[in-house]
Amino acid sequence: MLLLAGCWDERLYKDHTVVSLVGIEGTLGEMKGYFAYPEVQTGNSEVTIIESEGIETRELRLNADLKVEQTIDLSMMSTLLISEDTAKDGINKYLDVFYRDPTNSLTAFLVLVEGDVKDYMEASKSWTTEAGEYFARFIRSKEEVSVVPHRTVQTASSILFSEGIDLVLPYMVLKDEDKKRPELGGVGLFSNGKFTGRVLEPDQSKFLGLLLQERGRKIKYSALYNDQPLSFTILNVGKTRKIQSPTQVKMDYKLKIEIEEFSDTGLRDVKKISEIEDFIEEKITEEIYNVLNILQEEKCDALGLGNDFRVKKPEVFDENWHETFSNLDIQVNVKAEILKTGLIH
Amino acid sequence: MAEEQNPQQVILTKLKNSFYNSADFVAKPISWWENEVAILCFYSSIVNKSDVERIMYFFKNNLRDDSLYWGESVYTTVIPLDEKQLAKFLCDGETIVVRLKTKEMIRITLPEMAYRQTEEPASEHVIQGSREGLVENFEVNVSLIRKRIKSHKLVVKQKYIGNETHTTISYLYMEQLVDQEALQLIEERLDKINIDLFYSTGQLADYLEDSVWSPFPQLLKTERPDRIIASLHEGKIAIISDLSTTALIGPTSFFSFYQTPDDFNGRVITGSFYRMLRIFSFILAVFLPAFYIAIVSFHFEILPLELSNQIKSDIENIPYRPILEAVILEMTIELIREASIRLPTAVGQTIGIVGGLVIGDAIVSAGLVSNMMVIVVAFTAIASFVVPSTEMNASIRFLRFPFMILASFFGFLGIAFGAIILLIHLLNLTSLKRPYMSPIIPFNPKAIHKIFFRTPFFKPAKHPKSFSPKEDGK
Repeated sequence: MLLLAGCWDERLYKDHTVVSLVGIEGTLGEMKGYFAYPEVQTGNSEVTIIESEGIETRELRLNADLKVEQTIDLSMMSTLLISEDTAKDGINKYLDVFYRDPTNSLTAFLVLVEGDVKDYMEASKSWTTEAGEYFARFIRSKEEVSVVPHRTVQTASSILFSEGIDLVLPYMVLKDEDKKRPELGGVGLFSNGKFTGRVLEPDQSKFLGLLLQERGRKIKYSALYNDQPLSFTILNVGKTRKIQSPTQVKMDYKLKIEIEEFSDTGLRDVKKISEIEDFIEEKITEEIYNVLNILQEEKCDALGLGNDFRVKKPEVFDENWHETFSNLDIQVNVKAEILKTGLIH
Repeated sequence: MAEEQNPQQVILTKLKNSFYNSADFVAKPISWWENEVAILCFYSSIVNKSDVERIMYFFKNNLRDDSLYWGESVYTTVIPLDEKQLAKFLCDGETIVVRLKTKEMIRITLPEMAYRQTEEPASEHVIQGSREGLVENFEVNVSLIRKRIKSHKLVVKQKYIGNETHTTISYLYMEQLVDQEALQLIEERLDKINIDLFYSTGQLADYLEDSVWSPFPQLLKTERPDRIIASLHEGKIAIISDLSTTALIGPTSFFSFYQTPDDFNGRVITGSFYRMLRIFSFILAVFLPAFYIAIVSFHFEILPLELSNQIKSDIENIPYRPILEAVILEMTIELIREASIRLPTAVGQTIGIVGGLVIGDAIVSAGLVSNMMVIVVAFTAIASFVVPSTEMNASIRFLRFPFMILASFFGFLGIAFGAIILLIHLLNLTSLKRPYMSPIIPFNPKAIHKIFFRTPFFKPAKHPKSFSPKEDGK
């Protein structure tokens, strides 16, 4: 057994080029790939971008290898940029190469980008941080506030292979004139493994985050309450889903809330607090319905309701699930509870 | 007169001849009581002459051999003449007066051998606590120990080793507490020793250890009396010799090498912290370079991206593989260490600076090794010097080489296999037929916390024992 892993398997670090950011665009047949890696020149490193063409992703990588003096290694890839067009074609067939190799990084983030992938790659030259790490940090910090859900090569693939849940991926745009600072455009919705073209605005995607409810995330929200600014953080979400009939789902959400900013006095008053709670419930319910409507329009079952139906009402779940989903009657009931009110009353 | 002198003259020549006319050998006739003539002989180099003179004066003027036990006193004893024994006694530094008339010899045991004053042991510094160390003298050593254990249960037994050197070896133990089997084993093994020249405790250790070829020392070497008494109290046996400041203590467990009297002189919490730190340093010292080599040659994907750039830029222009790089540096450090030990302290420091700073800096800028490797190797070196025992320290420094080679051939898998072999070896190892890894194997849940924590003194109501003495004497 020891011989299975002998020195012939050695991969010397100095003989490998560690790529941190990969971009793919185009569709099967004519694809373009970009590989960004740091080239070290006496002290400071500079990002070099290798461009390659090929008919599919594996070939992109092989072709790119021909252009570097060392072997290209994707084990530290931290972000994979995917152009809109590629995503619309169905993302699964392009991802295969990234999760099949055991040394590849499974925790790389998947990011959809608007327009030319090359622009985003070029933009990375102006950052001080490592190209892929910039995107990774960007996404990670947005995950903290629940604006984007946690989707890496690994989690995205498992979602893609499941029929009862649809993928959502962060969507980035390059708006500024210099084309140096990509910003978050929102969350791109997928239906049946294909990008729908519809993007949830960051304001809305927060509530998608709430619906998906990942642990340890905080959702911040601001509104005007009687012309007074009211900001709060949703600390914890408790949810129950009930399938009431083949066409009706009921979702209960219990929110624990911390008031961040509220300039009106009287937060000690129990009556006032319950008034604010009511207001928050109403506000959030409205937002959630908005998001749900968009999801249903786009037939994007990001919540994984399909998996629930598959278990509890298998007769409803069939090939036409996405159609069924868009016609579902989803009822949401939000219960808010203010736990912390801050220091000033 | 001439006829009377003859027997003395015969004996004198015979004596001198049998001592090969050695320059420091003195044998001369003296007048004893009344008309009696006796022969006085001694080695002038190893006898306290003025004290001997005083005792002889007292004998001649105040004593007569008409009473029972007339010749017995603290320093003297009278036995029948025996030429073989005579030589042995003389070599031990005794002064002998041979009474020709009664065929008796009066032994005056007043040797004066050169030895040092007790000093702080150089190899086992402590911050607080006793600064006494053993010296190269049996009597002083035993007195240092008796001073600390004022109990008649402390037993000192002696054996002579070396057919020519005739060295006194003494082993000490606490009656009732001692591990009887280990004691028997030590006695057996001491009896089996058959060498001509005996001059160091290292020789003794070779005869007493269970597996001489193991890299791990199975007997604890110490120069500290306080450490010896702590071990004696745990039922262990200490062996001290007349010619070395080192005592051997056995049976020992692996973890006793990682304890120092400082733990017990300081506070409970800090003592525990440093004990854990030392155990951690063992892991670091053995595995760190191997770990680094495995990463850069097999598994670089586990590096965080931010760090990877630095490392990559460091190692990019190193002409050879990581294992060579590591061996070059490790060898440099070993050379520096070896050189500074043999040199006087002042020069030793200079070597340290030249070696550490100058070579360290130049070797990196010359592109022979990478910065990262210097950090790793330096770290390892420091970690390996944390071990309180010099012997264990050497074992650990040796152990990392096989691990480095394994890592360079097989990566993490190699390290894992190496670790398994190391563990199997450690678990198999015994010290005087007692398990070396005790209390982990055999598992003793009550004692296991002692590896990591130094427990308060008032707490253990039971007798501390690392092995099982027959009776724990409460």
